Amino acid sequence: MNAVEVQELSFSYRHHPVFSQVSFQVNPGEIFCLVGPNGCGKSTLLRCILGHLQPQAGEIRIGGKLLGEYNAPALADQLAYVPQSHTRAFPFRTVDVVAMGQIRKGGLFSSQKDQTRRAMTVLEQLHLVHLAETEYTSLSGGELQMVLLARALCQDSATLVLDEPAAHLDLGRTHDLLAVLRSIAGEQGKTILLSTHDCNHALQLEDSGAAVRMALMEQGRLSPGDTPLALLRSDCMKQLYGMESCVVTVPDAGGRHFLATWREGERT
Amino acid sequence: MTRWLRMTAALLLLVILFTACGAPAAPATEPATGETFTDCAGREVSIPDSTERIACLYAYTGHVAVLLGCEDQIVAVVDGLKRDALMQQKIPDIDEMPSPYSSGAINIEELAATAPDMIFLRASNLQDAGEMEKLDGLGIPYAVVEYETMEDQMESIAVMGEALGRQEQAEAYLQYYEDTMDMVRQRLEDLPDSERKTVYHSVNEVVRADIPGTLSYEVLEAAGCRNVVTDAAELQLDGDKGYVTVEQIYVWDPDIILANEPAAVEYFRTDDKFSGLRAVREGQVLQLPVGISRWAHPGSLESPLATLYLAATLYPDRFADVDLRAEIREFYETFFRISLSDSDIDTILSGEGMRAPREGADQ
Amino acid sequence: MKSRNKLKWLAAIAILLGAALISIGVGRYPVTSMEIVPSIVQGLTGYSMGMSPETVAIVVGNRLPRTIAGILVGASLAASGCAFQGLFRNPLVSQGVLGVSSGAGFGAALSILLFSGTVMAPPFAFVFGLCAVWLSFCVARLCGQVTVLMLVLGGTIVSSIFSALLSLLKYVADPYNQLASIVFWNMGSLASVESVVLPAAVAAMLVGMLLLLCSASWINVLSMGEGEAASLGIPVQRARAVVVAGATLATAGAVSIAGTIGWIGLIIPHMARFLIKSDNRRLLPFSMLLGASFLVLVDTLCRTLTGAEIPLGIMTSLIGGPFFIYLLRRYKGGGWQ
Repeated sequence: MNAVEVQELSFSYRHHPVFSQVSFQVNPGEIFCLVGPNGCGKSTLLRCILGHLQPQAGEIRIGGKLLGEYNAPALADQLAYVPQSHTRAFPFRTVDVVAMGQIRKGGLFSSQKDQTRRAMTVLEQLHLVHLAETEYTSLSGGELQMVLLARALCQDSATLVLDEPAAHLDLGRTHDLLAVLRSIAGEQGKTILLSTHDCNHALQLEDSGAAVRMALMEQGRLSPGDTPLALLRSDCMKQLYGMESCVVTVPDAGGRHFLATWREGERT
Repeated sequence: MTRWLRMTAALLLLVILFTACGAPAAPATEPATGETFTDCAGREVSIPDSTERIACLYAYTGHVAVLLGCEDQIVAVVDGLKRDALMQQKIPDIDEMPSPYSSGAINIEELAATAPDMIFLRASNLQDAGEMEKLDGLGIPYAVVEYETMEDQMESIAVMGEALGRQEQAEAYLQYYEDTMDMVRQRLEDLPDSERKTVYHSVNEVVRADIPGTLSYEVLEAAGCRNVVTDAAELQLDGDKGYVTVEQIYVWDPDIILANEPAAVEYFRTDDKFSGLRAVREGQVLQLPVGISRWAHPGSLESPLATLYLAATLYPDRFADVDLRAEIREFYETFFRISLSDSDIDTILSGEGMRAPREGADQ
Repeated sequence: MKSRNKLKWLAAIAILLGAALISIGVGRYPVTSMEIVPSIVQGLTGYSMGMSPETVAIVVGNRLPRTIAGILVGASLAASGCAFQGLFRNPLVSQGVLGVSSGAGFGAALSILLFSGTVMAPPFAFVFGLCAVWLSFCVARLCGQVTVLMLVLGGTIVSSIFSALLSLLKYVADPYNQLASIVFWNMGSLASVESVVLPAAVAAMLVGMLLLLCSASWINVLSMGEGEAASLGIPVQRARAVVVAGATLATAGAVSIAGTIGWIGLIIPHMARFLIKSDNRRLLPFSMLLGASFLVLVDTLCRTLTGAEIPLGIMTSLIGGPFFIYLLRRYKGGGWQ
């Protein structure tokens, strides 16, 4: 049974099509990267899967069941969401923000303590305990991203959906984030669906030993899902972006890197 | 499209220009007799040939017009007048009459449509100079009828008598007015201060009190009451109304509470707020009668009768020879040409149903 | 940290008790602090404690109901403002800004005209309060995304429409019977609390506040944004409906007995947030305590400063206006994005 299965999905804002006839599956325990340039519709696709947007056509199954058959708490058992950008309206304590991952489990009279305890455990896992009592409005962009990831982890759902998680991160923090994602997928057996504009993230995740598949999104179309290396073949990229490219292995480190070059006016 | 707009705009401007120029030329010269009188604001007003049609934009002037026997001449009133039971009796079609003044503004067109020969109003009817200009533009003489004190009130009756050519009727009422006040004064002259009752007078609303220097204050004073209000500074003034707090009434601790509104009396007698007041506990919350108007109200024409009634009610041994019911019957018979049955008098004394509430009740 | 928080709660409760005592002890009629408790006992049980009937009537008949009304109204307005701020994710909105107060005020006034009394005021205030918040939201949505600026503009428009309608009612109202109470409505006061409307209004306020307290953690999550709230597993539409209903109900109840009292819903949650942080599970009850104390104290000022009553709305506006300027400065306009 697939963690996420998308069939022939189409979405348009008013009469402006964003993507059409998109299909892919995410297997349990794998990291699935949606790669594509900015504005290609990745976020919209993710928001359809999360149920925030209503697609015009197609089918979405989560854990084998149609998306429409879930109520809010049951869907939250399946999917947790780390948004690309987040507006901080009120200065909540970081630990309270993380504990919101448990909100659906809290009845009217249930103890807040359990939720807070769970939040602290997750913060510990991510080495963020020192931020627990801080107002989350004072966190840096990178810290906020990690806290939102912590909140998603605190949710204890089967699949994590991350929208451009590294958008606001520098090189070092990006590495930390990818390491965390790998360990979540590897050690906790979670499924991860993430969007990124950088195909190197997929390569790095795979290099670190995770089961990674990716799909390329361009102009409202999605390529079939495949391993990063298969999709990043130079003929493939030439066809998609009109660029010369190759995947190189960094000496000594053993890690791979995707390189692309083009000259002015050459891109088709 | 824009051409049409421009042409329409130009046309509109022209129209406005013409009407603006034309307006001041309008005032019709009224056929004046040459005679004039001075109204309560000190203005010289010429008396028109005929006063067949009069507009009363101040309730009190409607009452005086009836007193002067001019009820058939009234063509425009204010809404408040329509609710007086005795006014309804005197002017059966009062309900259908236009009321070109409401909520602080005169509707000039509606007023003009009633084609009055003479307009009576109070100064507060005219909010600003612009309103007065519009009224001047009508070319219909208007008199300001206004008073604060008892003396002013008597003067105002004389003024209306002059304006309507009913000096005799006015004189007769003023004579009764003076005689009655003299009689009450004489009988209470030697009443020692210690025996004078302290009184709180609730005017329409429970927390609205008498303002010193006004007619109602003088009526109570003349009737031998010591008003608990001694200084206008104790009140929160809102226009011509003065308000107090419930606690202030407790501080004053009056012997007697007078109220002109049955709902207010009921409220005093039953609500927990007032249950500790001595006057309430001793059953000394009294209903003031309501005739043509609410007796002892600052806007009431029946002040002399109210004074006599109040004095005779509070100090009965000094007025043992006065038959109040007979006085009341004679008063309305003489001055308003209304013959009252016994039950009519009961109704007046009970204050109930003399002012038809439109909906609900005062508080 | 923990003990300091506990201290704040104790202080807030102590302030409320103090405010209530001052409110019962102070007024034109002299009542000493030693007479308060015996008067209440004598008034409520009928057992004689040797108090004069005047004192008992002042304390039990006048000041106690008023103080209780003040506590409920203050708490309701603060809780409701707090909830609206969380719901619309902005510290600069309140029931006043969103037009709910004017809507409820109009509804209450309309009910006076239709039913010649205040009996039906709470349901009418509730329905028109809901209309107002819905209209404000619709206006804000006209331009696609609901920004706070649009929401505030929408609220301003709706607010002025309902104010105009209220003024229109004044023309239709009977100047002898209904006008005074409608004008009073507009200014806000605790002076004319009528016993007929009390049960329904109190029920509305209590139910409203209870709904809000129960949905406090929902409000937390809703303030993260619609999408995130849904993904965290709360039924967003239902949660929103409950919060809007609770906040409007509380405001409607308050408006039904005290008229439109501005600013409390805006400034009190701020003070509370400053003291106890943003978690609505603590913020809501703390705001209620502060709002209750604030209103009771302001009402005491209103009825003791001069011989007669100063309408509450005037006083809260005098305090609230400058405070709002301070807030704008503090957020440097940032809350409006």
